Amino acid sequence: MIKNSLKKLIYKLSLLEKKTKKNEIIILATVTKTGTHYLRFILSYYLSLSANEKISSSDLSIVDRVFPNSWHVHYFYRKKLIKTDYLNVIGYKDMPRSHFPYQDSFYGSKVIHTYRNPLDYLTILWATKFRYSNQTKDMYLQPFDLAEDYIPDFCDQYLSMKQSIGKDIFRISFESLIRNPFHIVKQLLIWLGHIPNDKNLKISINTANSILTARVGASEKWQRDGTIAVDEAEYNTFLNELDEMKSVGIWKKYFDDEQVKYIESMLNKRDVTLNEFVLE
Amino acid sequence: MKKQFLRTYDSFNYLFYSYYLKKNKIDQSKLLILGTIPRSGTHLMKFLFSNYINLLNNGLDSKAIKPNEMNEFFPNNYQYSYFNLKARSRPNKMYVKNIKKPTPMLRKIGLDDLTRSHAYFQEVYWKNSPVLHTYRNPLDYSVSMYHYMFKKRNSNLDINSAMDVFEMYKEYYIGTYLSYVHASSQAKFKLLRVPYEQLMNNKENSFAIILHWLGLEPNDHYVEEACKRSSINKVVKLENVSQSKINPEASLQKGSFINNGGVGQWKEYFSSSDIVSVEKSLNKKNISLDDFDIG
Repeated sequence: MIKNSLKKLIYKLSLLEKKTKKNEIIILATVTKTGTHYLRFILSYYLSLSANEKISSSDLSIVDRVFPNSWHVHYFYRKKLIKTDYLNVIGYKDMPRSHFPYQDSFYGSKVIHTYRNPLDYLTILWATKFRYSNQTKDMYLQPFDLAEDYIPDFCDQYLSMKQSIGKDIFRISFESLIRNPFHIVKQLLIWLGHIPNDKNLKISINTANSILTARVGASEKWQRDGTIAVDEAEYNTFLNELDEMKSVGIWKKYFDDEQVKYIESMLNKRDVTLNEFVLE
Repeated sequence: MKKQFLRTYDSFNYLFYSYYLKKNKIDQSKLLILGTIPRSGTHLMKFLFSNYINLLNNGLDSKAIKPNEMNEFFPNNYQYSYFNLKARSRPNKMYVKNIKKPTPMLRKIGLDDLTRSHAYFQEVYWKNSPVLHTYRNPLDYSVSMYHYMFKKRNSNLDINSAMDVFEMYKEYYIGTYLSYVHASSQAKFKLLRVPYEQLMNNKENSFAIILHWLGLEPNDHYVEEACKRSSINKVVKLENVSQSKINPEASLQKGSFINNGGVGQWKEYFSSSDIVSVEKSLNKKNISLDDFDIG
């Protein structure tokens, strides 16, 4: 109770300091590896086009320029905001990202939430967050080994957004987003109170779709920094396989039946079932 | 002053409203309010939901929902069953107490009831309910209303064109539209605004988005089938075969409750000078025809 009130107070102070109202920011509160960057790329290109800028699929840093801030780092821990004007055109000041469950402090801001089936989530997390560097590649031998560390948080965030009484949340699965990006992002822009420009939206989606890591929902900051995966062949094969599967179902190559059953029991303990998700 | 008084009254009255719903075994968070502008897909949404929950409960072997079944599924109009917003000065008439039992199949999607309303957004009473709002461009709205309210009835009013209808209803239309825009901009409500045109252009995706928004994971096969079963052609056919009315409360003298549903019908009804006049009326309230998909 006291902790919560303190949290709210800190956040209020932070907003006052930044001369920002809650409803002037959109919070992109996603489960990691579930299309956060795909959506950020589409919206970055859309906002750049709306600002009459030229866009290019080779410009990967665009997402960090258009959406430079993190909710926890820049709003909660009050690190100095990195200025961005791109969102003004749709009537907002910023769209910080967060990978945390719904926070009471989010109330009064629009929240976008993406999620993905937990088996693909673990697989992609393993391949892109751990296998790419010498320091982390052997931390987990297979995607299944991440389950104990990552499934509880996955469920917490998923459920906090699903059970959303009186909260203004636009939730969408990655599997739906990747199959119907135009219609979904168009509705998302309407929900944000913006009248979408169909032509610009189509160009933005086509440009984002030409970025392999974005369209398979496997983007990481190290990719945009120019870092090369320690086993490039393994990494590229993984991405290409995921792409061939149209971004859904790669888990089948990494999980056996016993492991799937175990994950299912972990989910069930938290009132989540595998049947809820699009698995292939 | 009146607005401020009403707001204060509503805030106080909300306690009684909550108790009233609780007493009727309605959990506010499970009361889906279909808060729409008339002629913008209200009954389409009801068909989509009724067909979808029927498929969830009875599978693909089940039959398409007929108009009378759809009305039995969702028998409650907010104004006439739950709460009469127009009677707030008469407390004895405010709580209508006419809540009928909706289909128990609704439980499958975690709802206690789905009720419809054409009222302005209610910031106090609806703050803990999911509110789905559909709206339609004002030109096609006027055309549809022209047919629905006047051409299909023996109206005594001097209404001879869609433009007359726009003039008659513009205050209500703009007020309702803006009340939802304003509520949405506050980001304090579980509110989804869906343009009718978006719904008609791509029913499947729109309905799947709505289910996601409700906290559900859509069954793609059933969404597809529910959309087929709720198409205008199918529904009109069922209306004829079953001889049941889509909206029995509407006192139509001739024809179906449904018009052709198309986007851009206004082109046959509005002149250039009419459009200038409509735009002028919208601009006075800081909205424009550009804010809508007019086909």
